[in-house]
Amino acid sequence: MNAGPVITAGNVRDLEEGVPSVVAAEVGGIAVAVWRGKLYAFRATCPHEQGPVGCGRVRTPLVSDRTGTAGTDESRPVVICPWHRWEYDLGTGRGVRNPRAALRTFKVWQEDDTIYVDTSKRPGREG
Amino acid sequence: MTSTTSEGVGSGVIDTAVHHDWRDQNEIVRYLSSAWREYVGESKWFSWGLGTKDISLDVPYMHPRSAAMGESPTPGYAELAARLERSGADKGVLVYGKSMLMPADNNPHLGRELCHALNRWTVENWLDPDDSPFLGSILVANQFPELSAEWIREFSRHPRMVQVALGGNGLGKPFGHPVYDPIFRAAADTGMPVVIHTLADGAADSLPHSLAGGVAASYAEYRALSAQSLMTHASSLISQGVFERYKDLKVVLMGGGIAWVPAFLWRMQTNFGPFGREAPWLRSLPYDYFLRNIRVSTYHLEKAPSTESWRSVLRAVDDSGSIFCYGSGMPFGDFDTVAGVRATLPAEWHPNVFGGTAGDLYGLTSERVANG
Amino acid sequence: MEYQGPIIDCDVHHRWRDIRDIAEFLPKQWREYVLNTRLAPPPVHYPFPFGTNKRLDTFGPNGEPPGTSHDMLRSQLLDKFGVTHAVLGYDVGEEMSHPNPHYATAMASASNDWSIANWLDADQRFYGAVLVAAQDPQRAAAEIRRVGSHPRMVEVLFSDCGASHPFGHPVYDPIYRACTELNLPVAIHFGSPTFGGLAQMSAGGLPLNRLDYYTLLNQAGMHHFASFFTQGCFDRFPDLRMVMLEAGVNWVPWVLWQLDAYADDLRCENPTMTRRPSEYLQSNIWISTQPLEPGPGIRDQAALLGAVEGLEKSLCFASDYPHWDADEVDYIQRFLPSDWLPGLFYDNAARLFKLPERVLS
Repeated sequence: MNAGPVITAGNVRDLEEGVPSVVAAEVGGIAVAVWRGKLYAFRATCPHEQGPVGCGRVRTPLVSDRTGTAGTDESRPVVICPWHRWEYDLGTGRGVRNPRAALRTFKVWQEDDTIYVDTSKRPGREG
Repeated sequence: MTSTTSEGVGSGVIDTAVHHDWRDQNEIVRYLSSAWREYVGESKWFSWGLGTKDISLDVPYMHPRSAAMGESPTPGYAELAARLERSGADKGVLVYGKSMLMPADNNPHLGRELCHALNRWTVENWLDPDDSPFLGSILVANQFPELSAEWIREFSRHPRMVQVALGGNGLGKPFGHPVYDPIFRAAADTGMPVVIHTLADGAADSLPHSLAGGVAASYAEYRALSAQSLMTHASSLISQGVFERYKDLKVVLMGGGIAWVPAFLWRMQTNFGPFGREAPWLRSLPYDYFLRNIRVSTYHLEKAPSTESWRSVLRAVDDSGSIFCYGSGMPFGDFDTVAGVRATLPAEWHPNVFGGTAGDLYGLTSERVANG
Repeated sequence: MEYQGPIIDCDVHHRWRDIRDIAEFLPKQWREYVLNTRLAPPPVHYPFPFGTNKRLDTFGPNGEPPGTSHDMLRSQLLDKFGVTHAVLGYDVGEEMSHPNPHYATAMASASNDWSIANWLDADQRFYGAVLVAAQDPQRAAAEIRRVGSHPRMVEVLFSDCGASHPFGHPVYDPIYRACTELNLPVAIHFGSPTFGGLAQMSAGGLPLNRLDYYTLLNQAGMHHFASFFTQGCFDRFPDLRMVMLEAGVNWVPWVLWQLDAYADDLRCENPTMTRRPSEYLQSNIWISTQPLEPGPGIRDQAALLGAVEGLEKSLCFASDYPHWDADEVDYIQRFLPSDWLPGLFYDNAARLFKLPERVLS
């Protein structure tokens, strides 16, 4: 469907907050998600056991500096794999609590309501 | 450097698992206040110890061959010191025998008083002799955690008291439960390791079960699997952030052997991905906490088919024996010997297992071990 | 080298869609009872993230519960990975840990009848397990004799249950006598009393959260495993075959070596014991690898298991589909030597279940 590295990835109005949508088949699939008004794109297959992380859920990580207490960090959403519940930071792709695991993330933006993913680029400061 | 060239005296070997008990309970009762002495009674008037309340807590599983081994199951100071010397160790860390169960006494107040008496008895009879080869453990009345913390600060001033023994589980929760926090805080403040011993979860009166999945039918069945309670405590200590709060704290797990460590550790590490949300206060991985904060005594060592099989099982966890420390378990019937453990474990582990790891735990240089 | 041969999956979970589907197989008294109460006793309370212990993609398109659809099982497991034999083991059979032995026994029969009626003839790749309520061994034995000769029944299943004694205890002998008669192995599905509180799930105190819980969940299984030696079950039933499911496998060297270390004591306490526990490994014991918990290095898993001579001949593959911690066929191959794989995926379990030998191409 898309010849170059930039692909269209659906309409932002069709995305439900926190529910990723798998939009392309290449490189293990690509999923896009919206969380707190921001777009994220990532590989839809989990590096752990090849689970469908693109069908997972976006959530907020729990943070704590004292046993028995917890807060949330709304600025760093994670996607949770529906199989083994491994979590990945959508900003960096790093595995939460599995630092050696990393989920490929992609540069993503919208023009009007259309979502674009550059499958050759990681999310950078510019996008 | 710790010498491992000979098995003789002066080799710098530290035995981390020496069990000492009273032979006559009056040895302990005399350290009680007059009221508690009156409550327990003294057996001077009757034969066979009648005339008193029996203060012993007991375990349902008994070594089936110990009576045939020809040595006293409860040797006194001189005999145990002689056995330690014969074994080839220079220092022995006393961890209490079945008297370690005392915090689990059904009467929490009597248990508390007896723990205190046991500590004073240990100091005066086992640690104070000038040439004592023994180091001591503070048996805390863990059913009273704040009081336990006070005791740790009090008894840790004795130069030969080197660690805290949790003993029988007085409240029935895994030891990582926040209720026990004052004990770990005091241990961390005084630089004392904390020892958890398998036997302590095996009391007949103990609220926790000694094994999962039903009642063990025999001593061998219980002992072969007794590291299960160590796993439970280790999991809770890690998940409740004890080692996040007390980064330098050391916990010694004793009595269940060492080959269980990779099975437990890899499993907990695997589960940390999905269930880390249960413990967002953790900054490190379970793996890293275990290697940094937990040490494991070799007692009772498994019978592996070869030295090479030990390397296969433990190479990923520790290829130098740096988290393991030798413990004989004497005078229990299933005790290990220096020679036996040395012949079994890989030679490259020996410096750590026989002195290095324990030396770091208890702040002992090898010279101090060898020369008193 | 990727394994290409047939695959026996020892632990697949199948389930009814609605409580009424299973209730219709119960006698009238118990049908009303379960509709008024619940099927299983409550589990110990360590709630699961997202409220389910299943893979989230195994729910049907209209929200059907996981493991309830032949087609989804085919597409997500059998066809996808080339699984040729799937042993269906209910959700985990948690109903068997009900404190009422009469109900548990009736529920075992209903489960077996439901499985036969709805699944075993539906696909050549489906195989069945005779679920039994261990609380009443005599009636459990009768249930084995009632349905165990069904041509597609390949094992007797002890599930999430315990009757306060581990499964090597002589109280269960009637069950093993029936297993021996029908030449069926007994499977223990982690054997952890996490439902109903018939025994404790962990030594030394109850877990404090789900991280502890899952880390300690296999302790009861280890005890069941050891008790077959320590309580003389294999001495009484030398031909009995036993397989551990979903208890992991990394603890096996530790348990076998501790049992060897205490062998002399054990002989004092169990005079019938003639062989060392590790000697039973080849003949009586099988262990599924799931959940595989590999060490930090890619070769650590094989090194650990390789320390027990011949253990690879006792390992079987189990996916645990559709549960959250399912192991993928591709995934576990990464951690195990390629020459173990034919045994792991087929040959070992074929000996266990008395299935035909693999046709070598």
